[in-house]
Amino acid sequence: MNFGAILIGLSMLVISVTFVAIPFQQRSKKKHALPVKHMEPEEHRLAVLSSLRDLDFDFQLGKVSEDDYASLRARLMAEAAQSLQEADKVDEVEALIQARKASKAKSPACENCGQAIESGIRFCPRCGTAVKSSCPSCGKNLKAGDLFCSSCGYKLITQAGVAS
Amino acid sequence: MIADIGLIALTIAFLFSVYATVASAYGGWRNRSKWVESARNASLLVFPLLTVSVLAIVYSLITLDFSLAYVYDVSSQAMSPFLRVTALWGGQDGSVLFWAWLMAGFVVIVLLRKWERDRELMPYVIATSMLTTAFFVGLVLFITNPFQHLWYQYGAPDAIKAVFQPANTTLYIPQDGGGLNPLLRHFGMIGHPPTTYIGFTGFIIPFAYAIAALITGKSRGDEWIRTTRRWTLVAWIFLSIGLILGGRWAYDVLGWGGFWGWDPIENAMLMPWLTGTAFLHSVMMTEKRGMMKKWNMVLIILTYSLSLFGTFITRTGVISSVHAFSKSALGPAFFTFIGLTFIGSIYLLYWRWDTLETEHSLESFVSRETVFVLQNMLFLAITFAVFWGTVFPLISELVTGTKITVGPPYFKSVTGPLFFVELLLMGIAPLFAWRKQTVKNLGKAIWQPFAGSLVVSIGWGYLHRMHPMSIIGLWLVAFVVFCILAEFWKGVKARTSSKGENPIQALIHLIGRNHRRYGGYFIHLGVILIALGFIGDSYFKQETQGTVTAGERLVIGNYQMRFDGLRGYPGSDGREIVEANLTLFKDGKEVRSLQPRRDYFVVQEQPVTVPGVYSTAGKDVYIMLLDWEVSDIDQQATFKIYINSLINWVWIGGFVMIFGTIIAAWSSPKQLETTYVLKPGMSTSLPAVQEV
Repeated sequence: MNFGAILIGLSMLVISVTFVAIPFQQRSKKKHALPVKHMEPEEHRLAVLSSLRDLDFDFQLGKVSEDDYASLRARLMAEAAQSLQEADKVDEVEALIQARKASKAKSPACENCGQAIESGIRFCPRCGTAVKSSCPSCGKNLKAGDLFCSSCGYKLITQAGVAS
Repeated sequence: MIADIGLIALTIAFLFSVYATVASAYGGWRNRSKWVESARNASLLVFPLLTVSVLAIVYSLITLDFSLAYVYDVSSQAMSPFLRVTALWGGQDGSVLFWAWLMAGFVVIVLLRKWERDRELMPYVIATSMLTTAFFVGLVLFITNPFQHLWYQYGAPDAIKAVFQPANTTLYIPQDGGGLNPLLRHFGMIGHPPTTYIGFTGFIIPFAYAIAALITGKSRGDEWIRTTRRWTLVAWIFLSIGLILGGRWAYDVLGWGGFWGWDPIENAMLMPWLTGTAFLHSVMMTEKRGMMKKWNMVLIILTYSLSLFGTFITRTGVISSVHAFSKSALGPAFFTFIGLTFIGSIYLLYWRWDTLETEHSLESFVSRETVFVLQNMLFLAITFAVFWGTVFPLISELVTGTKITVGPPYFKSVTGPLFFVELLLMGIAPLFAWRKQTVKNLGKAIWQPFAGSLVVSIGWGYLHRMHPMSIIGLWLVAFVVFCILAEFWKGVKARTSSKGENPIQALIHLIGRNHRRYGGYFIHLGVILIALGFIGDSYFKQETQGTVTAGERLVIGNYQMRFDGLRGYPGSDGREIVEANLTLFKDGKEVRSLQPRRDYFVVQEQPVTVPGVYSTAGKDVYIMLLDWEVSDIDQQATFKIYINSLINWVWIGGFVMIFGTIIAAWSSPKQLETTYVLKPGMSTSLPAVQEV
């Protein structure tokens, strides 16, 4: 075998092995687990939508009688509503998780003494400094009694009541 | 040196495809994303590495590096550079490499496009597709290596083929090669293998997703079907084009005046096409109604296994002779792999059987669902009949020692009626609505196409006094065509009245808003036009044969052919040509001069008959020069003439099918969302859904 060919072959091998080994050298923060996505409610919604569209179109073309159309459509609409609810449920769960993460990351503290401030408290229990209320999501100042952040729309009502 | 680089690239590609299989399976199993990502990188490398290999072979073919046995086998000095490139798939060794290369290409496209979206399925998609790629690259490397040299051993009658130098030999470099098989030097044969291979290998994607869905338990949803629908369509249309090009090649080159002979190799391509077509339809049932999930799995496993089986039959020559099977290690290796793939997939399916329960049951027997189920059953029945007829000679030879072949009569009589019903269903299925359909409505939709088709077929039959079966065949074609046209008509009418568009706008919008539905109708139209070609071939074919001296005429139907003389001259690619000069008359009027030829390839000692064809939409006059005798006094020649009615509709139908597939593959769920919204807050009463 030609020496030049061996040299080129070796360099192909080295480049390839390096490329294949890249993922093992990266120190990514994410753990080993593969990301998981929720697609099923979305799939369901699309399927129902396309069924609805087909049914409407078939009705328009006179393939379905009026009685059948009414009953089939009512059933499909109920399915569609259900699929939207499912999708909402997934969104709600996602939102709760996000909120939990956010509040953990930015647990508010007293400006003066650094005491951790629980939600709903107006004055620091340790030094008495008035607590400036700020949005836990974007940090924007809030007025007393706000239910949502005026800047980012963050929902301030949590299980504990209105966040400070 | 170039060939050596190709060989090294091939070896590295093999190592990485094996690594990718193992690493992705391990990463998926243990949930280690680094392993999966590494496997992905390895899979991405296989394609460029194989490309280096393919380019090395192509370069050797063009530059006529006869130190390679493969180049010596399929290339020669007399061949044009273009033909030398096509020699890549003109022989066994090159074509297996080409196969592996295409498959690796499909895998790269999937990995680049779908990596982020289908992360859960990806480990097993990589494992499944790379396992197959590894198998094929392994075949190339260890059994059908195109980088083998010829070695000469003193005293031995033949040169030895080996990659590395055996003891006591010297490298043998011939002066010129054997050249590509003359029968393969035709545009049909140049396009046929690549399109067929793209079709065969393309089914790996839906198959790999199906297997991944089974392993991960995601088979319950239909995400894998949505992801792979377009891949399946692409594979399917390439297989269709491959079938049609193969038919065109047979028609132009093989010289028996037909385009489909139920040959084992043709059947080997037809079978995955049949199950693939069934799969394309049954996935709609899952998408729309959550039904037939198990059935989809069965169909994609069958389709992919039959694709492998098709390659197996073509590449090992096992059907023409059982002995070809054991001649090289290719046959047993292939057979084992197909067996393992099939059994492994069926086991996975059995394991997940309970998760594939249907979400709905049939609401009414008069519904599109019922037609779909029937249609699927028929496709499977036809596949089984073709399979049985194809492997029967093999089984009879194994069991009794004598080979009993079943010819075209078996296939025609068994599959003919099944195809008839299948085509009929194709016509009426679009008239049914999903879920439920009243018989009254159905009757209303059917009677007009039915009446129209009766008038056309009976009128035509009466005018031309044709075979009764042909009238039934023509009725079927007319009926299906009318049904499809009626669908377009109704759609256009609905739009013109509800949206006030003019008919052309309405037609464009109609197709634009419903790509899949109307693309499908175009494909159906193409299929029925091809059926028209088959009817012409079965019932309207005329033939005659005769020997004439120069100046004499042969008569067939209302055509006359006058023989004007012969001439011989050397042609390109190392062939000697004898050409007859003919004048064709229709009803006594001269229409065309024709030159049927006999090309003799000197090196290969092979004659090829090139017919002279006068082609119109209705019929082809197809004339072959069979034999000739030249004396001092006169010239005599023997001709065979066919009148092939309606044959051109096969090719026209093929183009319509391609057009329809392009339309059908266009749509996407996103578009659906933008054109159709569910308005929140509305009650479930009518009409809450509006088109915007």
